[in-house]
Amino acid sequence: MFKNYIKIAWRNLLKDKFYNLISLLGLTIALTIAMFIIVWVKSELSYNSFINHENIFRISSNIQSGDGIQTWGVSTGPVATYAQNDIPEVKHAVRLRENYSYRTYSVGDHKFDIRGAYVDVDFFDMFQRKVIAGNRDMFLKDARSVVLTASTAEKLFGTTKAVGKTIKADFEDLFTVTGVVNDLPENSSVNYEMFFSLDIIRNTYVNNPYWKSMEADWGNFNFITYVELYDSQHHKKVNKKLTYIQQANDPNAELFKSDKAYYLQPINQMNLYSPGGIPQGINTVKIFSIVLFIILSIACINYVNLSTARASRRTKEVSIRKIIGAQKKSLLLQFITESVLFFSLAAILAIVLVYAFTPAFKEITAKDLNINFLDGSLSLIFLCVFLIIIIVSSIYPAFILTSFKPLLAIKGNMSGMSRGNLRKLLVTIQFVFSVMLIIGTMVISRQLEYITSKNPGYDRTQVLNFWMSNSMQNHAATVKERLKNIPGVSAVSFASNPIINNTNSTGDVAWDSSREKNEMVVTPMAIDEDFIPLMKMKLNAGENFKGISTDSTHYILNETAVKLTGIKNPIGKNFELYERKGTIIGVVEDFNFKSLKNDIGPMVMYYEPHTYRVYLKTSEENTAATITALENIWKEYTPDFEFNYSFLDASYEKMYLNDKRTGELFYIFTWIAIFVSCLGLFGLTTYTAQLKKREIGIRKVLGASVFQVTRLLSKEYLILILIAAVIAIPISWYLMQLWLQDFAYQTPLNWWIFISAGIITLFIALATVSFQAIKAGLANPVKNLRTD
Amino acid sequence: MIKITDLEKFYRTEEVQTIAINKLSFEVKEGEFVSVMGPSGCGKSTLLNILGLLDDPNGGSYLFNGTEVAGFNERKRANLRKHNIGFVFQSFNLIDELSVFENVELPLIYTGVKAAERKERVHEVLEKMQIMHRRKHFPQQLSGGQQQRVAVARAVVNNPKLILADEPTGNLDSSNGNEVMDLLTELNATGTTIIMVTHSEHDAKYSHRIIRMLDGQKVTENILSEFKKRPKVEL
Repeated sequence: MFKNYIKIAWRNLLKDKFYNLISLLGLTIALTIAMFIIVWVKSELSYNSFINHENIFRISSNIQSGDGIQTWGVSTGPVATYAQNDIPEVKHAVRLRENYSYRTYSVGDHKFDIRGAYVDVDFFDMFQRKVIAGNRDMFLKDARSVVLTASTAEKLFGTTKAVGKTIKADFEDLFTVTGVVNDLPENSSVNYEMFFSLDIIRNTYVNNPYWKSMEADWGNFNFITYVELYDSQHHKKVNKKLTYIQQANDPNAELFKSDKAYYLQPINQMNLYSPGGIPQGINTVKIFSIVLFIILSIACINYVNLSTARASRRTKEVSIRKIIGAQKKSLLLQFITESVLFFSLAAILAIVLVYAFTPAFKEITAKDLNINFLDGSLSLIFLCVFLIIIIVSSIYPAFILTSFKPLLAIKGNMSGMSRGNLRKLLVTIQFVFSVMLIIGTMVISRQLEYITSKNPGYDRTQVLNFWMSNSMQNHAATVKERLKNIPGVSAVSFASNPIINNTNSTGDVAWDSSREKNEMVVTPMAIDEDFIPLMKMKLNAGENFKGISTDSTHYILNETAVKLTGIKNPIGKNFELYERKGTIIGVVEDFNFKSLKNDIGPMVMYYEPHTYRVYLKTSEENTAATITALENIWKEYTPDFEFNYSFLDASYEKMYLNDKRTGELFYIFTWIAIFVSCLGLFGLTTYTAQLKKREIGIRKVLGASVFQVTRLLSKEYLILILIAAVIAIPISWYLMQLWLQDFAYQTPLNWWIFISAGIITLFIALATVSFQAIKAGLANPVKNLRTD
Repeated sequence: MIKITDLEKFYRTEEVQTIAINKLSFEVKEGEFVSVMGPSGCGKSTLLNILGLLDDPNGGSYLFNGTEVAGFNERKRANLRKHNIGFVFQSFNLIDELSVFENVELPLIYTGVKAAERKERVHEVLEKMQIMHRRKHFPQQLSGGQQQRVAVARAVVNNPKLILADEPTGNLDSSNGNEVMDLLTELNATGTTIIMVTHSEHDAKYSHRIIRMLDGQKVTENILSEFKKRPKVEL
């Protein structure tokens, strides 16, 4: 019997080539996209998924800022020490700090780029690294020890047996490999290749004027601190204890939220939530999951619509089977078998497409996504999705096909077969989805456009910047003069940080009224007298640094800092940074020194004539010659190092690259979903036009024009689209609000976006429908009447 | 074999009730060949559907081999149908997607006959109907007469006790029509009961008895030849 079902299914597939091809194409595309989205979502959700991830937390700091709280993903050095020594619920506490000290590593004559980090040695236990070479007890035993991952050892030495071998950093400092561990997962926050001892940082405290040791430095938020608990349920208790310790020991205790100084963030949430646990990327994941649902629904709707619409073609066969003695159960089974066969075919084609398009997908997402159908969990997800859509889309058509009275059907009395209302409902749902997706695309692209074109409060055009090397910095004044003389360079300035994303912070500030209230954490930035004019920043009050010795006790605050301190008429008022007393000489208009996902925080600019980062305003002409000249100067001071520079414009765009990629992905998925939707609509209208052949024939004989026939066939869809728009607009408004929450600066959700999405859908649908409608209208009516 | 008493069937729309069968009673003996005649709309086809358990009567009694089947549910009806009744239609009603062999095989599949036996029985009946050479062809590749022979083969392959024929020659020319009628007569000679709805006086003459209907009621009954009960022969 089963063989018979498959035989019939296969022959039907070949017989109705047009409709089946439409269905199959739509289904295959939808399944392909669905698989990609599942892989993407799974990858986003499996960030930091170490076996013991449930017990590992990042310690975020809750800092008082004005009247509010800011939560940072970083913490001070003592937190880990106290957590490890004084809190019994903590199994391991580990600090990590990315290594920015060295640029280049070399083994013999070969140079390498390696991502390095300073870590506490328990890092390897917490993240369960297997020791591939070396003795675990000797890992990072001193400041000259490093531990490598296996693939890094292979890269540097061609073997994992690298213990005892040496690596030179920046051609000066020699490090000895004391251990090799297995690689860390790429999809994690600790994906480094080389690990340095924290002793390097510890040693810098020897002559520190403010803090006696790294373990006593409560002022600098230099580390990402991870704690592994014996039991994840204890995180609140641990937080309480940490808060108590902080309040008791930190001289700046009042900087923190007094009842909850920290937030213990589960590490698998670090990529999708802010350090304070506020949803960030998770909204994008949710939106993509909705897109996944939409695409699959569209494909299922297509299948249901086309198979029920064509049910009348199968009535004869079903009736005969019933008359001969087939029971409803066996007929249901037959049609479900057909659906399973059809969906399986689509799934096989989709798998082929997934393999074919994986490289392109990886490029768009810039992720090394591993698509392996043999991977248990992934194939289980695919199988579940597959089963659900089969059940959803095969049962209804099967019931329709088996429900009619056999003799009526045989004699062509199909009144009970039309099921037009359900089909209309399903088409409306498809339109709802289309309108939603179009609105989504429009809002996302507008937001990205808004971010990249928003005036950040400074002029970033043609500004080149780079980090000076030590030897260059030793001759900063001369270097500055030489740079100024390069043709095409109109201004040169030094500052301590990148202006695009300045993540520095300190609570080491004071002002006249600060001991009573309003303590705050600020972003400090050392600049010279040329910085504000070069960046074309606006001073709202007071004046710029003059480049004279008294500037060392002058401060320029941004508007937010003035507001948060509550200082009235700030010019000339006292201010203190890093315990250096001085006065406020200027107020600079707020500018964005972090991603637009963040609000502008308080910033204090102080004077330092020769810091490490160089900013040059260049002219648009002859940029290449300017860069060559710069490089020549660089080589004079630092012949061994490559000259790395960037333009602010490019860095700014790079900062939003991830969002841009998400936007692109959404855009692609949307148009594919709409295409699949149109395929279904096309099939449906082709079928409707065929059914109405006779009616159209009679109307034409009676004098109907092509336009009137087209209108007849299109009118119905127009009404459905209007209904769909009414449903889709509030839903998409809500979803887009949700997505925009990730950004501190949001494009307005204008009413015309929603209206135009409706119009675009209408246009696409009418274009699809009218192709068939016009064809039907142009057909020779006599022929249609005769063939009926 | 069949006894109907005061059988009623009416169709109801929102406003009108149409009576298709009006208190109809008659009996058909096992091995008999009965024709039902009458103008279009007189209720012949409705009667055939009820007799074939494809439709429910609204009233009256229907005894099939002594069992009251008027109130049977769909499952019981399908079961009775597949083991006891074969159908032949005016428009052949073969499944276009199946070959001649597969069409004839279908009733055997639904009655759960094993594949080897199915093959044997289908071949046997196709030989008998003289269309063995066409077994791999699809319905559209056959003439009307051939299609109807396949339909008859399908109707008899399960060796049913009763064959219901709805204008079996209606779509055939006279020579093909005669062939089909000869086939039915042969089947009847082997003991199969046949009830045939027809417009053709010529075809009706092949039967033992003609029941004439009008407006859902029996008008007259003509006995054409004496019916003698013969034992049913297995095909």
